[in-house]
Formats: sequence, structure tokens, C-alpha cells
Amino acid sequence: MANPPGRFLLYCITAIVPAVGMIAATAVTASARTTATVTARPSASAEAGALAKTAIEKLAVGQHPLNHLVTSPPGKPKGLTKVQSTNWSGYADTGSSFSKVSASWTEPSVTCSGSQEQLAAFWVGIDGYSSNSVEQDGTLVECYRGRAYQYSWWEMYPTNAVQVVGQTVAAGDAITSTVTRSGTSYTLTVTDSTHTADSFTETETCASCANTSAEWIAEAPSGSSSIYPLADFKSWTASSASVTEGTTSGVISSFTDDEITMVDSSSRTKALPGSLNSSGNGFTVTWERSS
Amino acid sequence: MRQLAAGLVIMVLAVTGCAATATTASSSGDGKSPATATSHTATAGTGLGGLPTSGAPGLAQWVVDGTFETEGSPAHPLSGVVTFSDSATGHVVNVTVGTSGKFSLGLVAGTYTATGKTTHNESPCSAPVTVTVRAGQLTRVSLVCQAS
Repeated sequence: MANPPGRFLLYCITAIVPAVGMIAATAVTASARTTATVTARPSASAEAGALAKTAIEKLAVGQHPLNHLVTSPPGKPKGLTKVQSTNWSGYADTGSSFSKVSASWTEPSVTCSGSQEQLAAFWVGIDGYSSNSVEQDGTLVECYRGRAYQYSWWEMYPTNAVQVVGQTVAAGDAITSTVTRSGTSYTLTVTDSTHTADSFTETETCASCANTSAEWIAEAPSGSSSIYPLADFKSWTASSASVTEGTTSGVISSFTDDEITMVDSSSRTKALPGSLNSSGNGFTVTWERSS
Repeated sequence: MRQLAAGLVIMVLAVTGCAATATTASSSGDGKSPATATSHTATAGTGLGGLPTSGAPGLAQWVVDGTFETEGSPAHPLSGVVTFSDSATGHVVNVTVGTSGKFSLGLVAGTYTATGKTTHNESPCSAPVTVTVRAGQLTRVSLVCQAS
């Protein structure tokens, strides 16, 4: 960090006081939370503030299922299983001791309709399938008042919420995302070859992460209590997907893999993954509905 | 307004710096939109639309389908609220149940206690049901409102 220690400490103190207040406010009542989160955004220059507030809100969620049962699939044979989720679509490999996951994609073009805020995240990661953490990075598109904003980001949940890095990601950008683990150290890398300012490498530590899954996912991100409507990304194609479990490296189909369809409350498909390509290292997720 | 925005930016920079020594931190807009048409609402009622969720960003959430109905035969569907409480954390997710008596939500893998109460009653009328949500599996829950 470039900040001198004194300034860094000041930032922490400056942030913690209102953040604690927000945490308390969100814990009281539903109406209080609604009041706290609905904010007008009068101009583009005010967006940074709104963005920051969202990040604070996410940090203040405080509803993390920290002690969930970790269920690695014992004795599960290799092969494809089709499953349904309310927020994920794509593929997940399950097993133990995953240490690397990677994929490339062309950033989708998003159609934003109406004024409703909609989100879609495209990422690779380790964990989160059945465990209580997820180490992930990728790109994110937000439809806000009919306009698309696209970002690069990483997250080590539950240590933190989404950390946005690049804000010049655009449809058509060539993206490669990788999460690599060495012991308890995780290196999160996103490369935007088209707009290089969006690229980053971040190293984080997690001693308690289970490393029991690796994923390639299009996600409808969650807010404090609901899943955001899924932005219309038409399709997202992950390619050159690779994964390492233990000492074995391969592609998606090299390990026990689940094909995950995103559905809504009426079991209608929101995002549908296609079959793996012949090399087992790529697939396309097709958007079908927002919510 | 500009000062407020600047203050919020500083806040998030500092919070993320404290939390995870993040290199950068800014985020997307927070405009909240009216709820989409759905028979379900979540505890906080932030009006984001979509399914109720356990509020755990990033983790996979698995489908939980259920029914809320009277005891006896034939059973009749009930409207009201079904509450899922995370046994480990105490985190609560509420689902509003319509007149069909059917509900659906997404929960991360874990163990929950579910109870139901009808629209016109303050207290739960169903016995607590332990619900185990497993990754990649559909979970079905049946809550029966016992006659008082």
C-alpha cells in the first residue's frame, strides 16, 4: 500500500465508525435497511459515492454462514452431473486440494433494459460450491438506469466482498482469469488484454479455505437479502479452461464435473450452460431471463 | 454532495484496506429498483427483486422448494411466512408464501431450522423442521401448521 501507516490508520478509523453504524442499521428492521440503501444518484460524478456505499453495504452484510458443513463429495464417480442453482450457471469440478483454475473469455455485450439495476458476474474460482468460502476473480457487468458499466474484480469471501479493480472493461475485451493456490496463499489474476488498465494480480491468504471445488461461473450476484436480476449478457463463452487438483492438471472434464443451470423460483431457466466442447475445456452459458 | 461522495470513497478505501489489504476499491452503483413480480420477499425487503437469499455473496445457492399447509387430510395450503434460521450463525431468511402454499428460495449448503406462521398469527404454528441443504441437490421442505 502506498499510504503511510498514519494515513492508513486514519482511513480505517474513518471508515469503521460509519460502517459499524451501517451494520447496526441494517440489523434493526427491514424498513430501516430499505431507507439506508435507497439513494438517488443525481449525476455521474456522484457515482463513485454510490459505488462506495454499495461496497460498504456488502461489507456490512454480516450474514455469512461461517460454520456450514463442508461436504466434499465422497466417492463420487467422475462424470457429469446436472444440477440447478439459484445464482450460478456454468461448470464446477469437485474433489479435494484444488490449486489452480483458469479460463479465458471475450467480455459479453450486455443489453440493459428498463431502470432496474441488474448484474451479471463472470468468474473462475476455488471453493463456494459446498464450502463456506470462495476465492474468485473475473469481470462484472452492471446495468444501472439502462446503461452498462463493466468492471474487473476479485473476492475472497467471507474475508471481504467484491473488490473492483478495473472500470474500463468493455464488451469484446479479451479476458483471462486465474486463481492459483500455493499452500494458504492465493494469487488472483485478471488480464484484460484489450484494456490493460483493468488487469491486476492480487495475493491473499486463507488458512481455512477448503479447496474442494473449482468453478467457471456466470453468476447473478446477491445483495444483502436478494439475488439481483440477471443482466442480459446474451451468452458467455469460457474457453481454454484449465484446473489443477493435487498434482494433476487437466481441463473441466478431467475431474468430477457438475453442469449448473441457474433457475428462478418457478424453476424457469435463467441461464443455461451448453455442453462442454470436444476438448472438455470450454462451454457457453446462454442468458434466458433476468429473474 | 461532492464532499459526501469523496467521504464515501475514502470510507470504502479504508474499509477494504483494513479488511483485506486490498489494492483498490471502488464498486458499482447502488441504485435499488422496485421488486420484480415474485411471490417471495426476503427479510430485509430491499426490493432488489429475485429470490430470497442467504446473503452470502459468491457462494452457490441451491434450490429449496417447500409447502406450507394445514395438518389433516385433506391438507389445505396456507399463506404466511416461512423462516429459515441458519443453525450455525442464526442468520434468518424469511420467505413469504402465497395462497398456493408453495414457496421456493436459494440457500447455501448448510443446516437450517424452518418454521412457518400464517398471515394472521404472530407465532409459528408449525413445529421446527431441520433442513439440510446439500450442494447440487434439490431440497424439499414440508411445513404443517398444527391446529391450536
